[in-house]
Amino acid sequence: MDLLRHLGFFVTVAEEGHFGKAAERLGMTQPPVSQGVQRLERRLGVRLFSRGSRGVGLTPAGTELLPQAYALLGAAERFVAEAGRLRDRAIRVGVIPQLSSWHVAAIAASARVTVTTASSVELVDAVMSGELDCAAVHHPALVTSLECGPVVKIPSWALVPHGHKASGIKDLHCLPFATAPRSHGTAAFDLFADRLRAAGLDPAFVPAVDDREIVAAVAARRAFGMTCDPHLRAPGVDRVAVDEEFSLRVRLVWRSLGDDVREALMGALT
Amino acid sequence: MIEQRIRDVFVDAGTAGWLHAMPLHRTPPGREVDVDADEPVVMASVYKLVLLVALCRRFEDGLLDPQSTVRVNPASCTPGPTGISTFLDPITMSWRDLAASMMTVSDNAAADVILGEVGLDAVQRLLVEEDLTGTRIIGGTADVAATLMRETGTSTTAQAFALISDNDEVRTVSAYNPVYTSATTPRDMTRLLSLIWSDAVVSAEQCAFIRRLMGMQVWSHRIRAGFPFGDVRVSGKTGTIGAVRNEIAVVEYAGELPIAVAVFTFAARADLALPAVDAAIAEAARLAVTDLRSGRL
Repeated sequence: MDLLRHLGFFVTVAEEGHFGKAAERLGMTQPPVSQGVQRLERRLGVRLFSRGSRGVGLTPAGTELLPQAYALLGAAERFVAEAGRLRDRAIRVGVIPQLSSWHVAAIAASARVTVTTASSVELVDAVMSGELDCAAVHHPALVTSLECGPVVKIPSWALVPHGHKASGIKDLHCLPFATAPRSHGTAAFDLFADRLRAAGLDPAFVPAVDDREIVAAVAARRAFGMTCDPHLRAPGVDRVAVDEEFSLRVRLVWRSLGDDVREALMGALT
Repeated sequence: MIEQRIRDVFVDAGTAGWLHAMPLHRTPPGREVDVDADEPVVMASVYKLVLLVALCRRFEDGLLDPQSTVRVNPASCTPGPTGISTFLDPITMSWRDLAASMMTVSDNAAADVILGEVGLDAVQRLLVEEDLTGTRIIGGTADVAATLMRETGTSTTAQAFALISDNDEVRTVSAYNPVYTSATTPRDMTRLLSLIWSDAVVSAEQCAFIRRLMGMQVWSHRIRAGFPFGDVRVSGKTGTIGAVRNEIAVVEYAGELPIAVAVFTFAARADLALPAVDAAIAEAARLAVTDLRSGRL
């Protein structure tokens, strides 16, 4: 028996004091409403209405049960509304500042999301606390007990001052490297630094959190930087292709996330 | 708070870390340093200390003569970077020297020969008898290597380690999971050290033998590096597998109470060499031990 539907009959008949008027309000004919009320009474083993020639009235039991029927129907309505709110809520995604605007747009276009930017350390904390649903963090990072996707390598380019003669990483030895500070994620920072050193470059570091700050430092001829934006062009800035090992490594982390959303986000990153 | 400072050291090195430190020979035990000290952690070669205790029980019970010899053919042993594992030709050595190789250079071949003699059952019995309830040893180096090769689909341990050290792939191997591999807790290990330092786990003579071997460990890049001072004795046993780096040790300043410290780490980076994490183990141990020092007696 669909209890909520039958409670609806009970409440409407009680309000109207008449089976015919109640049926009209429910957009039904009278017989199914009156049979429905009878089924409910049989199921409960309690008479809810006394039926007289001038209409129907609540029995003492019916009077006592009516407020609880209202409460149940109200709770059911709120339950459905909350489910709808959750269904339509945007997925809260966090990204590191190194992820380019181009990739952020790809994420935003792939699913119903809101995107915020923070360091890997802050993103992991926010996903742990439930402030964010998932995040694209700089790999390798301390991800504690979070669920993790595979490592995604996003192709990157070196940004060098216009006219700088650089055909590879080693040619950049006279410039500091503008990048997000080490505190954003020590493991990923150290890995990248070690890769540069292994390739023959041991640069000084200047903090530049995102593409905008990096471009400003590069255009001012104060540093070189890296970007994963496939279309970034700026005055005073040249792009140089670099080896695949200098790609931006990111990894999606989450506590609970629908497969469809995860696939959409992964698709946007690759 | 000393615990927070230690956590910050681990985070800065890009590693998860667990630590327990406590002074020995002190009643009541007094203060200790606890950084998630009851969490299960992967043991790696730290298990060799438990195995050594079990071997010394056999010596003590007269079941095995420490000076009797055993012939070892390196070709049929687990590969490893040190000791007999690196030899080309068969050798004959005494059980106690085999134990020395296992402890001082973490010789995998020596450990597997000793485990073959002692048996996993005797090791388990020891853990139960000494109430080391957070510790479970499921096999030796050979078993771990075999599982690692099976899981990575490789045929040599070198290939297996090359695969798990790749930062572009995240491999979930059971050697990294305390649920599936030999595991302990930092607190269990400092308790084992306290039993060894108080002659309680085997005879005084055998405990002195164990302490001597731990004092001769050659590695100085982890806990020893935290105490580069002349009048400090550091007796330890390291454990390393891929991103897992551990050491347990007793630090003894001249004229002070000894302090047991157990440090277990699991790095975010997969690289086989991470000096920053070794240095973090040294720093975490130094912070904990310095905090607990009794001062000159």
